[in-house]
Amino acid sequence: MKSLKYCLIIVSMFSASICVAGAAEPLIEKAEVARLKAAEVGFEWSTTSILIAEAKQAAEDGNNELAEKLANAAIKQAENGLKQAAFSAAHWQDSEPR
Amino acid sequence: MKKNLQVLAAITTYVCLMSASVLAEQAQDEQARNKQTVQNAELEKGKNIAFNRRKGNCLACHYIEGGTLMGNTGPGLIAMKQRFPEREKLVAQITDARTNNKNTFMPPFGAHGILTEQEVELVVDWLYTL
Amino acid sequence: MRKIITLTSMLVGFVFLTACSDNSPPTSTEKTRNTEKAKPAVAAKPVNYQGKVDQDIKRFRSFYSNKFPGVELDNFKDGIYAIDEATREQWLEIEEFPPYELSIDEGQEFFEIAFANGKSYADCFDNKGQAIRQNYPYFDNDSNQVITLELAINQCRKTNGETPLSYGQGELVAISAYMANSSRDQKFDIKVPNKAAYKAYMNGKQFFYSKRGQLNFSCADCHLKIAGSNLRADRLSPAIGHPTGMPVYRSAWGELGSIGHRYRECNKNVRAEPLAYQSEAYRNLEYYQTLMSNGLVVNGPSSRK
Repeated sequence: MKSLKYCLIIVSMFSASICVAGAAEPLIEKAEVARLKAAEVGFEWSTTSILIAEAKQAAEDGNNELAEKLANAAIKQAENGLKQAAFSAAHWQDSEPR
Repeated sequence: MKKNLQVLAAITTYVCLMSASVLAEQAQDEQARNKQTVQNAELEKGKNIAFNRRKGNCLACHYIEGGTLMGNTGPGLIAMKQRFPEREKLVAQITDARTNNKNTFMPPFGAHGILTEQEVELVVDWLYTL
Repeated sequence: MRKIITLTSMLVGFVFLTACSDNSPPTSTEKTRNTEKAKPAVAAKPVNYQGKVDQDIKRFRSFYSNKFPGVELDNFKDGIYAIDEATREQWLEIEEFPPYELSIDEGQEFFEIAFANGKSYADCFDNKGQAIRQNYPYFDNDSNQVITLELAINQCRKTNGETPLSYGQGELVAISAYMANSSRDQKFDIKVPNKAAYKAYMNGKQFFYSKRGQLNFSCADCHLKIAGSNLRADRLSPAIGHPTGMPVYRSAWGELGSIGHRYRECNKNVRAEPLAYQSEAYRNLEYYQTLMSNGLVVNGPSSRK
């Protein structure tokens, strides 16, 4: 009986922690990974880390919807930074004076 | 007596009808005025986005009537209806000017999330008043 | 008759074999001979990296000369004031009693203070650190990288057991300003001696022409393509002559800052995450930009908008 009680406590704690962590956490993590990828090639935008910080704050405040929106915006920025790197690598010589 | 009553009734009906139509007209006027105010407010929003340095900052490169400290690297924003008869083309130019010219120096306002889709639409509404 | 046939077939076989051996891979002796043959051919025509860069410099200059036909080439050292008549006079007046004058004096004091081991900055540099700014940045073959003056100042501190200074503003920049001041009117003379140096140069060049940040601007977009135009009320300076006046006093800063400080600020303006001071990319960019200003004289430190 006692063990069942413990079991219940543990299970309830576990589910509570899931609720606190929220669904935005993996998305925020993904955004951070994407940001680092852009930074690695030197094409990180200054706005991305701000979005991620705001997403974290929103998640902490329990505003999951906003947190996800911000994290997705950050991911998009990082992807755009990578696109920019690829574009520049292919086209930088277009603007050189002839 | 009966005739008098008839005349009175006719007059009353007339007055009633008249005032009703006047009232209706007034209501219509007010509705139109309200609509105008809403429209003006939307246009003002578009203008504010265009002038805001953190948002459109169009003045950095473009001449706009009523602006101050204007840049001259882009074409002046005048006669927009003539220059962009198709709305989609103007929306596309602001959203991602690279589709027209891959090496353009006009920032891709929509594609890079500098402005939201809704903000671009508001700016376009306002641009058509120029 | 049979003898003739045998002889003929032997002959054909021989011819066939010799033909085959021509196509077969060369023996080791042949290989050596081939390489020996190839070697002098390569040595006779080495790649002239400096020549390639000089071609770039020529094109770069004629671009600005065509864009600003009234401006003497030598005057591009003055940055925006080379092309902006409206503010040039006022700027020349400011330069009579410049706001960075105190920093030069401070820089001299810092420069002359001996390290704990008794040595000083003068021991680290050619000509005791006087009139040498025009030789920086240079490509160092030993460490295979671009060495800027500011990096060299900190390297000097390290080799003498001192802690390095921060790069953007302050003591190190004051020292750099003092050293630039002692080099005024010396012509920039940066070299690209070899393949590795050329690689660093090309890397800096690519940075210059690459679009960055949320606003999607390259250095070249503003300071080459539309140089001289107005962004809001500010006229865009030509990229030729950017490094000559470094370190630079900007009224927005209220003090001197290094070229790296300016690079970081420019990156922030286009909403790109700035890179670290003296990162390889920034040093290569400075190498490229200074090469494009080769032949102009040092007039740093200077005040610019």
